[in-house]
Amino acid sequence: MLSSPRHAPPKRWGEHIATLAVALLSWGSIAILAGIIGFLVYRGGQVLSWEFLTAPMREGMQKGGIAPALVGSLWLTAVAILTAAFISTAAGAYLSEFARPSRFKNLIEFLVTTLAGIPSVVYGLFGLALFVTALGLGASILAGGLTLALLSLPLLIRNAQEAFAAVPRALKEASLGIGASEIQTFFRITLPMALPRILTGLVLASGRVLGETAPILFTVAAYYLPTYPHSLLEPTMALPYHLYVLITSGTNIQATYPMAFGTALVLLLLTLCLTGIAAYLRYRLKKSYRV
Amino acid sequence: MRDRWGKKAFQAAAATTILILGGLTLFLFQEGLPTLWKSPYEGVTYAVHPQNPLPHLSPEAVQALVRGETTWTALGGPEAPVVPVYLANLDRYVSAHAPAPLFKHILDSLATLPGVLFALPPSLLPARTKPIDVPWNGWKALFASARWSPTYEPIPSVGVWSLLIGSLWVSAIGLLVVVPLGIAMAVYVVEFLPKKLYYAIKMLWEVLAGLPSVVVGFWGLMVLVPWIQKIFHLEDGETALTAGILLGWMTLPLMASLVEEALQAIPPLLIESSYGLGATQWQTILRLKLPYIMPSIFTATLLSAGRILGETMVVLIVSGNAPLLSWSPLMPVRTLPATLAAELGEAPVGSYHYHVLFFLGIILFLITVSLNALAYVIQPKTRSA
Repeated sequence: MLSSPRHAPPKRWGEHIATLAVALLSWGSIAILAGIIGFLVYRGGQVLSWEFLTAPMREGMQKGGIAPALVGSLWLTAVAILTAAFISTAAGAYLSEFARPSRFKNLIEFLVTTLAGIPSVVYGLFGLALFVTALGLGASILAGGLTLALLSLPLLIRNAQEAFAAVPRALKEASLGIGASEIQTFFRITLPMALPRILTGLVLASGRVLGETAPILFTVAAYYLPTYPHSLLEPTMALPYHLYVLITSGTNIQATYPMAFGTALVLLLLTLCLTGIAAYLRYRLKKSYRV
Repeated sequence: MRDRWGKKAFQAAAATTILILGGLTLFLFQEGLPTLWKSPYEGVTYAVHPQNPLPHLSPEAVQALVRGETTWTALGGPEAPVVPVYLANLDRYVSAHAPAPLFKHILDSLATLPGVLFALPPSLLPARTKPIDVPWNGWKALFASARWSPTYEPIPSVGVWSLLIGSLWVSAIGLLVVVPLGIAMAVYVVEFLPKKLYYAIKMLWEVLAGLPSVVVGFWGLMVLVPWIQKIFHLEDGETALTAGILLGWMTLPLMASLVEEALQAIPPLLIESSYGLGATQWQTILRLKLPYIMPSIFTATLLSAGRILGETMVVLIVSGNAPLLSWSPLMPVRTLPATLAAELGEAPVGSYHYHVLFFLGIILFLITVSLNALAYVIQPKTRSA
């Protein structure tokens, strides 16, 4: 991995400066990340309490908690990830295990990359036109969750594809060699072996989905609805949108800032946990398979 | 036999990507393209005083007349003050709750003014007026103007240039941040980072990539905006520069990991030869490695540009959101995605405003898809040497 020279000539002083510069830039960018986290922990920590997490908002969102938004966000993420999990795993399996090199396969791979590059707000437009209006779901958890599922598909398909491809070939061939069919091999050998990585990808994707704002603006998010959803066909509040509302359109912005800091901290901690766990697992798995 | 059907099921799952992209394209165009032929004042008839000699008016002239930026005389009409009468300002003349005869009488008396300009549904229009043609050209309205006020009555302005230029400013600044910084980070990680820290820094990139954009935007609003305001002595720190810096920083993991991947894939033989010739580590980086991966850097730049262009929430929060033509990065701007996010919630489904916003969606979609497709087509195929 490291390609530093073993017998390179000694560095000149200009080269020491260059090395220092790239190191400073790299750690500087990371320091900003630490700065953001620290800032929000410091300011938001003063607001965080059991009541904040479990009570609905009160008094024009200046008091109370964020429970309805928290619950709404969890619902949305669950709907999105559960929907996307099956499709993406099957699609990834197809690309990695079953597809012969063909135009169709190339097309699908091209589409996955293309879809990954489409801005999330465009997915929001699509969700509005398809789920909310054309299919008549209205602004609801289902419409928002499905929109988010579409958004996370490219990431998940690529993840599943890589997970299947990382299963050692010898195992698959041994299974085929003792007379198992391709489908049997897939379900008995490849899928169980690839499962940890697929799950890791799902955790990572749920972290991303949880923090998305643009796609839910028009498909689900309620400005102020301090109740818990009873069905998937109801609109709900969601953490990212609630934060956006708090910092841009409150009647008394100064008074809502403490709430905003608390909401931002909760959102940050949730996504940090999810992406942190996933990233940790991912790089441990990457290490363990290296033969 | 069962195997074949099983495989078909997997193939079908893969084919959903075709459905999604197809559906996305279909719906965007179905809702957005009507902008080109639908007029924003369908069902409204324009009418003037019978003695007004003008045969037709352009939408721009109507807007200028209503705003008071021009007069009838300047357009070759009567020498009389402009009296615009349209649905949104009717209550200036008569209350909506007025009894029908009074309502009709007031409209009729307005019709006697030589400078009157009616924009009303035919049922409300007084009899003694001359209908006047106001031809609408969708293309011209979108691309020949830079004024964006899509709900202005009686005729909205939907010039996209201020938004396009806003997006351009933000992306240019974002790229100026992310490209050098991303390359520097990748070089550092590949060349100088102690091996033990490699996975740690990759994890940090992952965390950075997963940061909710609305949280980054909030931090920007609280910390970066006041800094920019102080440093440049501005009235308001919400500028294109603020948004560009934040977006560039947010895109770092994408850029850096793509460049890193390319650096790792350089054939070791080349690197060894360079050292064999007596080159130092930095000479090898600058003369061999970076030139060698130039195509990958270009691809990574395209992908980062696509990502920055599409980012919505950060821009919405910290860029000031003024749909004005800006000639400096220290002015507030509004980008395409921010406009969508800010306005679509208020636009009734099927209204002209709604269609225009979907048209903006088409523009954004086409730009980002072509950036990504271009990157896909020209990406270097030599992954591992």
